[in-house]
Amino acid sequence: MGEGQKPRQDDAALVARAQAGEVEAFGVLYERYFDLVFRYLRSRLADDREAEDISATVFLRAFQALGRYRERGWRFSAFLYSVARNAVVDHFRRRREDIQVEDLEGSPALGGTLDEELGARESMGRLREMMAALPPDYQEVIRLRVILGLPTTEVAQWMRRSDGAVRVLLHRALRAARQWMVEHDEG
Amino acid sequence: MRRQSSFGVGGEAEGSPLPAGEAEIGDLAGLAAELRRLAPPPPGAAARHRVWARLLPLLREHRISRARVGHPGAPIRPRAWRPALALIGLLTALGLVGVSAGAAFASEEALPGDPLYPLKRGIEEVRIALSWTSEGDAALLLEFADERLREAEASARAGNDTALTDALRGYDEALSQVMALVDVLPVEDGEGSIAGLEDHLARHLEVLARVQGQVPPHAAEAIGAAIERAGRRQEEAERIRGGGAGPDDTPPGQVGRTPRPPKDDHPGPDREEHPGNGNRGQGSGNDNPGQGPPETPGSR
Repeated sequence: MGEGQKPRQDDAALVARAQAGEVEAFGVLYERYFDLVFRYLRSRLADDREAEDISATVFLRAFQALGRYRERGWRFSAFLYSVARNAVVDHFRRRREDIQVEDLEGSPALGGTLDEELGARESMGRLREMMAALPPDYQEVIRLRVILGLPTTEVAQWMRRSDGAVRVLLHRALRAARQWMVEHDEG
Repeated sequence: MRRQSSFGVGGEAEGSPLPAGEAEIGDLAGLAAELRRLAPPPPGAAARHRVWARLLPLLREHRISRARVGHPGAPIRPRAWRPALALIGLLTALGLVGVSAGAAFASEEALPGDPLYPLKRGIEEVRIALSWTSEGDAALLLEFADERLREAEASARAGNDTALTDALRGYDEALSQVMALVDVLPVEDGEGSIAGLEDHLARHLEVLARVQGQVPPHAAEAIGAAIERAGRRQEEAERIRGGGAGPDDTPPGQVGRTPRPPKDDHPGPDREEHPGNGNRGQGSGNDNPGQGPPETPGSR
């Protein structure tokens, strides 16, 4: 979401211009948030192509729905997140299927010997399996806070909870994750 | 009975020198570190540009349709801020490339892959930004489509398949953007009109057929696909000029799915393969009205 050296124009000002129909202003917001939206979608979808498809849908819907957006302490990124989350839900609803764990990619090349790579893939597969087994809120807080590395305040905005509530939720989510790991450890 | 998992969690305080609370925190931190391995890599610039190329015509179209809902029959309004943005874009482009106006002039003959080619495309972006009407946009986009075809022809002559593919992709992108404007263009009035579009497409078909004869079979196939798309666009323009219905409005909140072409992943051209949608969302079967846009007539 970095802006380089250019002075960063306030999201609210850009949103106001975009609400007046200025595609160019929306383009600046797109540049600012595309990576974040894409990475969120990519963490939930099977491949890059799907993430691109849904990214386009998200930004189009966001542009179409800008008239409904009022900042009032609710960041534009949180608005985009709500659109993205709904878009993913719709996507799965249309496909009538969820992500197949083995279809998920999303991790950088693992490298190492074949054995090491297979072992690493297996452990990644288990992590994904564990994630899929958690309640949606737990999955989401882990996805946002841990996997995507967003600050707690940002996650709180996105999930419409207080900072403290997010911390508690994350703690519970990680405990549940650990519990799953213990129960499914074949060791 | 707890045992140590292969992810280094689950041991809790058993056998740990740490107090229970600290051991748990250590476990959870270890698990969090493992989970971070699921982090997807950031998208490349190419993905960002691809999605934007798909999005831009739809955004412009949405803006136009909102304006038309608010003021039926109103003339197309000038774009606010365009000159300022254009100036910023021009300065940025020149600054980034670090070349003089002379280089910008020299870039006119550049082909895809040439060092000056990005400058050439950047200047085109600025010219579009300086256009104040949809007719102006359409006229410029048609000019750019002509230029992409000229590049395709030159690349074919030079035997440069990569440049040829890039030029054809640029051609399709330009035409996709024109097609997104057809419902607001005048029918018969100059370059940026439906009639002008038809003239250009007729010329394009001639050029494409000529280039197709100059290239090896695998490139001829790509040109054949471009010919087919240009033909469909021509039919669409003829239909509109003949008084037929224009393309449907974008279904609410829908962009649709990109068809998966085998190699060339340019999403633009195929979007017009669905009759009647005219580049507005591609019939992916999305019928979720709950995600539709707000009705805000007269917002612009």
